[in-house]
Amino acid sequence: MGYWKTHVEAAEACIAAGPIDLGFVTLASTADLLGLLWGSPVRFEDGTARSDLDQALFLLGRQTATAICNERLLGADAGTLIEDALAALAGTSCADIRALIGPVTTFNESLDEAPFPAGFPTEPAQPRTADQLGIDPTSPSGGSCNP
Amino acid sequence: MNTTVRSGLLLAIAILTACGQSSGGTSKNAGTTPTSPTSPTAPAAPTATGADPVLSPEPASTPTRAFIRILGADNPGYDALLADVAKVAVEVDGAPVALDYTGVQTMDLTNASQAWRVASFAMPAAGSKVHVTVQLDDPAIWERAGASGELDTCGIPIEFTAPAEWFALRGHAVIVLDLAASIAGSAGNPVLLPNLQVLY
Repeated sequence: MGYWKTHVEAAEACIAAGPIDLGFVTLASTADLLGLLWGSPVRFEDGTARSDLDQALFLLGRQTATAICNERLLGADAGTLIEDALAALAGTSCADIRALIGPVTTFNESLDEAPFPAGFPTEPAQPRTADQLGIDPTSPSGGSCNP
Repeated sequence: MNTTVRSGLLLAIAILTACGQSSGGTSKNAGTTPTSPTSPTAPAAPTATGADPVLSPEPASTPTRAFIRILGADNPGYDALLADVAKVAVEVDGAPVALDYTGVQTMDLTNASQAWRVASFAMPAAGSKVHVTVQLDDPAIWERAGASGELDTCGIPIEFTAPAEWFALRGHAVIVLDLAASIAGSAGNPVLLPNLQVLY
């Protein structure tokens, strides 16, 4: 996740391949993607606290977005993980959502040492720029965990 | 006020596992290392020059709020160390209290003059005991000499307990994180093992 979080051109390239529909939020711009990756698990952009459900959605959502970018640009194969994650993100079962955070994170971290394919953006990391560009696109769902 | 309440030094014991394996997301390691306040009249610890982020009280407009803040200190040379929190919990006499995140933002812990707001809660009644837990979000991001990478923050959370009166001194508890002493591991794969003081 850290790579996409700090490399603006890579994030732009991922979004250029199409919006990322996570169910509870759609990432339609680089600002959306960076905003999710730089977002806080405990609060929304305006400082409102995330509910348990919203926190679970956020935590799996950012890993799922990362996995989708890894598939799109790195050619990685997550198997059914992304489909499973999107199915969980469409519901309100925090148990199901949280159960997938680990596996999706593990998939993403397994690519930390993977070589970049030809043509992949190789600009240096710009963490502060990326942080400033991001605008957390999530908002309170109004829902609660079930279960 | 010229005195600062200082909690005991906390050297986190390394109990590290991958954050991603947690059913609870980024707050997997629930190791508990509470610190007990040692002296309510301990002298102030050295802090940043200029406007002191510890000794400066919270604004008079927030007398009913108690703030939790984090200040990075003893920066070993990072140009930036960007971090957020994955979990904050406050219990007053064992009961969880509601937190407010107004004004909270991504922290750059290399800024020695900024004690970053983490959360606030209603100022507890005198005589009560406050227990605070803060888990940094994983990963934090470091930048140094044009290079950048991740700082593994999956270690045990920061935890401390203090009487309500200490929060009332200046309206806050400032977690002063000694960066040089807290960042271990190789340069390419650094790990945060929180080494800190809590100042009031």
